[in-house]
Amino acid sequence: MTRNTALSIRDLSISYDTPEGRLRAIREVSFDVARGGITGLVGESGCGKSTLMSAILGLLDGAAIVESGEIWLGETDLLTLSRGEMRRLLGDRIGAVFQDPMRSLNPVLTIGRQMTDIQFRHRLSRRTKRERAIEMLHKVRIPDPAARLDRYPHELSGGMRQRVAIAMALMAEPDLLVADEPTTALDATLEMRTIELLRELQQEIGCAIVFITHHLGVVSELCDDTVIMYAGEVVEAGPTRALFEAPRHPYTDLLFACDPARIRERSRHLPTIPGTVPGLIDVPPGCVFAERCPERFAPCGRLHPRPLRVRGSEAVRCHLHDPEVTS
Amino acid sequence: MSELLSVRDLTVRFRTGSALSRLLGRAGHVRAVTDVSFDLAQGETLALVGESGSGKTTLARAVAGLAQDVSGQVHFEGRDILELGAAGKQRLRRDVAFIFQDAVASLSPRYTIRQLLAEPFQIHGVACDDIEAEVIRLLEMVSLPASMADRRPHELSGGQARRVGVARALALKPRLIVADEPTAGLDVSVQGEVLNLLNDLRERLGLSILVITHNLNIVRHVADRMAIMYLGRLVETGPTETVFHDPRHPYTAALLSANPVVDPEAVPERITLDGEMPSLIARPDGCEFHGRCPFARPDCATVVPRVTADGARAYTCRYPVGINATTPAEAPDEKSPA
Ligand SMILES: Nc1ncnc2c1ncn2[C@@H]1O[C@H](COP(=O)(O)OP(=O)(O)OP(=O)(O)O)[C@@H](O)[C@H]1O
Ligand SMILES: Nc1ncnc2c1ncn2[C@@H]1O[C@H](COP(=O)(O)OP(=O)(O)OP(=O)(O)O)[C@@H](O)[C@H]1O
Ligand code: SF4
Ligand SMILES: [Mg+2]
Ligand SMILES: [Mg+2]
Repeated sequence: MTRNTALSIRDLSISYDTPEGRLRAIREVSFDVARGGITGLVGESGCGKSTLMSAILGLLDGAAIVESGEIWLGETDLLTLSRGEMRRLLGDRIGAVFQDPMRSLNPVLTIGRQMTDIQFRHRLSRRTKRERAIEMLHKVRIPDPAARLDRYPHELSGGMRQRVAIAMALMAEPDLLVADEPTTALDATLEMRTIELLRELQQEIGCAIVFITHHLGVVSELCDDTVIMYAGEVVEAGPTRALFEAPRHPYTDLLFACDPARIRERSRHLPTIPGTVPGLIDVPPGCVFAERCPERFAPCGRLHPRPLRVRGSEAVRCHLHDPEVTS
Repeated sequence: MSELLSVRDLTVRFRTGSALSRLLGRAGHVRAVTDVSFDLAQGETLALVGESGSGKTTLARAVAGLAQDVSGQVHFEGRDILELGAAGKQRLRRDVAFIFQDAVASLSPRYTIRQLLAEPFQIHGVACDDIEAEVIRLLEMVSLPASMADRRPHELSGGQARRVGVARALALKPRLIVADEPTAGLDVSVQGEVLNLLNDLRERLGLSILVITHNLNIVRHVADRMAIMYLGRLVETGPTETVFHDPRHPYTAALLSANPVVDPEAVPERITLDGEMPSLIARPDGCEFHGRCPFARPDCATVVPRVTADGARAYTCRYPVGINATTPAEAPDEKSPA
């Protein structure tokens, strides 16, 4: 953990207790988020992104078990904190925007009430808090912001709910913001706007952001660093530019090739990665991607690839890049 | 192709004001969807796009018979669904499947995935010899393992829950699928699988698809026609390729220009939209887009544009993009647009 690191995740493994056995949702996950930096977290559906987020926020499901690992926020290992200590950090030093916006919002309270409540640390009059709330709704481009304060979450459109959730998380001015697909219901114009706003506010308050998304265009525009996950493991990580220019892991490569934005000719049949994700109760012994990998060779089925450093700052988990295996 | 769905002058209203002002009778209404007309043919895919809050979900719900304060006509297979009795409504819910925008919230947390997938058969009294096999078939269809049947919605990832929503919608072989952001939260490979699945069903069974998505790259690949919504109205409709290639309404042009494209040399100039987000409470006069329109002229602030039909396409703008006109495309009309 260096002074320039806001968040450091070390060898984190988390399982869920299920009737069929232990589902090993994330395994030996490690990466850092730079102070004031934005890290994009990308990966197939079900690879453990939200589980990782819940772990950072201390909000893991009752069935979850932390098998090992550390999550450092500054000098604190969040996994050692009590529930009470964690609750105090949330909404103060750590902000969150959930994948399901209704998880960030209370369905029975008006938007205005929730947005004034979140400012509980500030000694301001109710009126000033309301004004700050209106200003923030304006910033996330919600029309008729003053009138919206009296509305309930279900009376907003899907994209408005997402923007209210973002506005609330930013009002707390956290050191770290974890956002789980906060722009899925926004059109391209608003998505870009919202991302610019995130960047602006991030520079203003200097917070670090972990940004979970499936939108590769957003990652390349917004994130300094990118982490690619597959079936519970980090398979590749590094500075966004380099990673997008020359992906090292076969999964990253195939994933990028499936992006409809990259397919110029109109085609009704979209590319997919053939095969299915391995079950996570009996995790295969070799590479987690071996079953679907077009580059698979002898060691892939039996030997689990180790995380390797390539080009200094990048990390990749694939035998193709391991001189000891390929030689 | 024959029309499966035909929508005319559809308007959907919501009440405004706080609970108190409602009690005092001071509350008014807003029209979240206003005078919308369009057709959807059998076997056709129509994409509905537009700004967040423009009324897409509200329109989709009304078309599926799920909205309250609705006026106009929605003809499905020739019958007006707004006039249906209880039995007709029940049948409609079987023929028109809805994939909800809020994937997790739309699945009841008390049920297992197996129960959720079996439920449509029970509700509609559809006999099924082997419900267990059917559940597994539905799960496989959306690339989920059979072992997931015993889990509850909160024990799935966001994308897994969305795929259960898709499987549930397809359970009873509907005639029309109304899909509200069906691939939001899916990685691009699974997104491809879901879209290919919908397309296969469209080809094999001739079902029609009304898809709402903010992802213009999806629209470009899968939709035959597209409709662009702004402040509750359709401002442009037309064949997808024509609209992408040659948009007429300035809002369409702005929306398309924000789409990240593959070929950096083909990137059109990004048209940024300034000005306030439009308000349903105080709708602008004239063309409702004039305050943000980069091409607005003085009379746009006062004259309401009418629908201009142009072959397979239609748009609501007096000074359409790509047409060099010094005079308005149509005669001034003080009435609201058709
Ligand atoms: N409470 C739970 N009990 C059992 N399994 C769970 C539970 N929550 C999540 N899982 C499983 O753990 C894995 C990781 O889920 P997670 O929600 O972290 O994925 P994700 O990467 O966020 O996916 P998505 O992009 O689809 O949201 C999935 O296979 C999921 O089914
Ligand atoms: N139940 C409701 N009560 C009051 N107003 C509502 C209700 N549902 C929607 N609205 C309003 O109607 C307008 C249109 O909402 P709608 O959900 O149809 O938008 P949308 O185009 O689907 O947006 P998004 O892309 O963000 O999902 C919004 O201003 C919204 O606040
Ligand atoms: S380790 Fe082998 S199977 Fe795994 S990604 Fe690399 S080449 Fe493919
Ligand atoms: Mg998730
Ligand atoms: Mg919507």
